[in-house]
Amino acid sequence: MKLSLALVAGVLVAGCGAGSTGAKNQNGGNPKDGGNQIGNVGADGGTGQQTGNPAKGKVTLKIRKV
Amino acid sequence: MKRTALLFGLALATPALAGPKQSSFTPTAYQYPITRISLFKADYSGEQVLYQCTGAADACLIDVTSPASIQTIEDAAKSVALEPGVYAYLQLQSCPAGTTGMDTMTVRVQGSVTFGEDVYNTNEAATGGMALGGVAEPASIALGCGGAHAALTEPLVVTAGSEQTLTLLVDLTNVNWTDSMVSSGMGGCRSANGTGQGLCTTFPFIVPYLGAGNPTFERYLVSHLKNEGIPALSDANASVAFAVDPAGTVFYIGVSPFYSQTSPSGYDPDKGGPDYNTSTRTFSTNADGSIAFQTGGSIEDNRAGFTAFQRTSHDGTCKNEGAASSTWVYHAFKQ
Repeated sequence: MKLSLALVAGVLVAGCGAGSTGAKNQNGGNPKDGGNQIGNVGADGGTGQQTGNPAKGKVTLKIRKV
Repeated sequence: MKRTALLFGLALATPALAGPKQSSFTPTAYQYPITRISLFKADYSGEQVLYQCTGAADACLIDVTSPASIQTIEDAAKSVALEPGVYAYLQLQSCPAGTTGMDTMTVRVQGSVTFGEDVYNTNEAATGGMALGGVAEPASIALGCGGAHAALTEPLVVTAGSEQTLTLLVDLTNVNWTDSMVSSGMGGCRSANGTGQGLCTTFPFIVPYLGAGNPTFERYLVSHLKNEGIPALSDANASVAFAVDPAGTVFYIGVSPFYSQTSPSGYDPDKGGPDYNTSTRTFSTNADGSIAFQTGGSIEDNRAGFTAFQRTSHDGTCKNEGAASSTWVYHAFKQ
């Protein structure tokens, strides 16, 4: 539970830093949605932009025959 | 079960036969369906799918000896976004969702075995899957749905923004064997019904590896005696493989039966040894560098167990932890 809260907080910070323009009550992104979220956020009509997928990690799979 | 069927076949053979033509071999090609590769947390929750093939089983066939075939999985499993968490298990499935171990899939193997001057090649048209002479070609074998379930030596810790590479080492060494006494109905085998060589297979040995560099494998053949003595190489009927990281540390262990023309049955009371049809349950490194490991699903599952398996050719005794299990004198031959 603590980990989930921390991740949501991380998304909010990332969303603000990526170009949100003065929006109050910014919702931020759902860390489980993935992908980019571009559009209206906040009740006052301000726009913001959340890029990337900061709440996930990436794994690349390699296969090697021995 | 396999050994039981083999003994039944031997009982029906005429005494004039010199013995079954049996031999393990490493295939030059091995195709099997890979439908899903996933990671799970220690409590088997939080599945994260790294790769998925949703087509029919044949459409998901991967030749694990073919770089081009492997590339199809690597292309699909590049920079896969995963939920943060600590993942302890990797599962590789070879049948579509909804199937069980009672269902079968088709594996295609290709290879050759030599007995004296006779060369047997895998052959699709041959009843038993092996033909004398000719050229090796893919031969199909029905195999129960399964795959690989591997515990990661170190958990894969995924955090927001982390990027890591997980390598699957695929070992095909002696994954196939041929036997003139393969009986109809033996799982993972094609039988020639006493008219030729049968063909059998198990799943490839899949070892997940996290880290840099290239791990290597150490391989041993193991023979056994019930009483004191020095077990002979010609009596080897089991193999042990250590996966070793670039620092020289053993991080994974596989065991399996081994077949040669002179290898005794696992039921031989004097030379059979413990049951190697299993996977490793626990292992650790002793202070002297030898490896202690136990196999089988539980202590009660009486399989092979070693308290100090040295990393060179050596003698010793082996015994499962179970109080009632037999003690065997063994010799391990480093390959």
